[in-house]
Amino acid sequence: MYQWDFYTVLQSFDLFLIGLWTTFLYTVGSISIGIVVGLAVCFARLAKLQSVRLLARSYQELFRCTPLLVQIMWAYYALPLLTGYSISNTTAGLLTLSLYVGAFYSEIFRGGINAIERGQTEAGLATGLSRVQVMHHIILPQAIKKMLPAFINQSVIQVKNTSLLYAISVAELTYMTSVVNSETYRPMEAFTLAAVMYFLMLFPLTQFADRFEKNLRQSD
Amino acid sequence: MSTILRVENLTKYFDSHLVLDGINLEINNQDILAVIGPSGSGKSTLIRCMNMLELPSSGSIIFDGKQVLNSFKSSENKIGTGELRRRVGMVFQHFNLYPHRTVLENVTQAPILVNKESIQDATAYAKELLESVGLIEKIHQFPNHLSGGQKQRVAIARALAMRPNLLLLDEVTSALDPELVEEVLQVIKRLANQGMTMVIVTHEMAFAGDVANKVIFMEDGQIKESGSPAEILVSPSSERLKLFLSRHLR
Repeated sequence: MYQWDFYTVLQSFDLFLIGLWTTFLYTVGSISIGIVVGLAVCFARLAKLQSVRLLARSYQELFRCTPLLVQIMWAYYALPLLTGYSISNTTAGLLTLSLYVGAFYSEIFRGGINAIERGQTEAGLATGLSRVQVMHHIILPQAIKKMLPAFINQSVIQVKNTSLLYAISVAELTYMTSVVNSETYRPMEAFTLAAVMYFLMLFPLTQFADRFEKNLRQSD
Repeated sequence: MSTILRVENLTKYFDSHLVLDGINLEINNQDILAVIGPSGSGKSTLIRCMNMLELPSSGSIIFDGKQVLNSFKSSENKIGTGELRRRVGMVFQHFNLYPHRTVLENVTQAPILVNKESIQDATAYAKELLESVGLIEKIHQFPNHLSGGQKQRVAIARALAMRPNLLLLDEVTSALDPELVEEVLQVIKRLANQGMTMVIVTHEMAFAGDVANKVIFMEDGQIKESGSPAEILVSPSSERLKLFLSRHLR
């Protein structure tokens, strides 16, 4: 029978807190940048010019069809060789996470916009609104509601994906947990505690997404 | 009578398929033009070209003496789609009301955003219009709580809120349950009596004969016959029109 001993790892609780805070910062940072990137790429996909559409499409596929871990390693180890400039693990981590989630967000945004019937756009245009006004006042308010469940889902994945920054020694929760583990030799307690922390962060989010989706179905 | 809208040699292709083939017509102020014809004859495409929701492949739309441009902004002596659509209202078969806005907001949106009317002015006029279509008690409801006939009456009020010079009605009763058709036709009839200039694409032949002063019969993207309701609906000359009417007039 395994003898649990949380006392030892809890003595390093400050290290967990540093990890949690770092994870939080990378999540908020990469999601914020990811939204901006996602919006830009989404509108590029809807652009009139075919070359713009193609460029946006290539970006999406590049980031969606390669593993995030490979992207992180590539940005940190390979990109400096290519450019001649070294890049900090902080920058490489934030950059890759943002571009990665941006590629997924852009498809979620595009899906939401495309889900709004063409008649809505036509009704707006027919009353003299410009395309930008139609997007702002008619399409986006409806599309945001439709895309929110998928958006939250992707964001939940994003929180967990920050753990891959372990590979380039960013002091996020998983990395700090491994530090605690190597100091205390209590992997069971350390990683259980980390799992509980991730769970407590994300469980409310998935619950909110579920409830929101249910409300949405009822209001339709 | 002054001409409000003229269509000159209009053709429209969808890919390689010709849907409008050399259309010429003129709409004068206070005209009510009914467009009839079998489905697929190009009626809806024609009316949608009139406010540039469909872009002509060739030919011109002349609105109020000015050629219509394929750009939002007007230029000297030419009229952009922005101004055109401000002055030409449209009502659609499937209403296309904004589900996230109340009935009142559906009607006030364009006057506020496009005509820069104050919220008070836009609201006052919207209430007046909604009163006239019999929906004043529904103004704070959302469209999904309305019947089809009520939705379409809101859509008519929304188009009228821009005080258009011309109103385009694209099969506005085709998506309605039979018992709801009459309430919408009544509203249109009242507009006709008030002198509103309208183009009406419809399958309601009796209504077309009742309300219109000009009727055109379309088939295969062409205007096959045009004239007064009596000429077209009562004494049609071509066999095809006779056949069409025998199927639609009962």
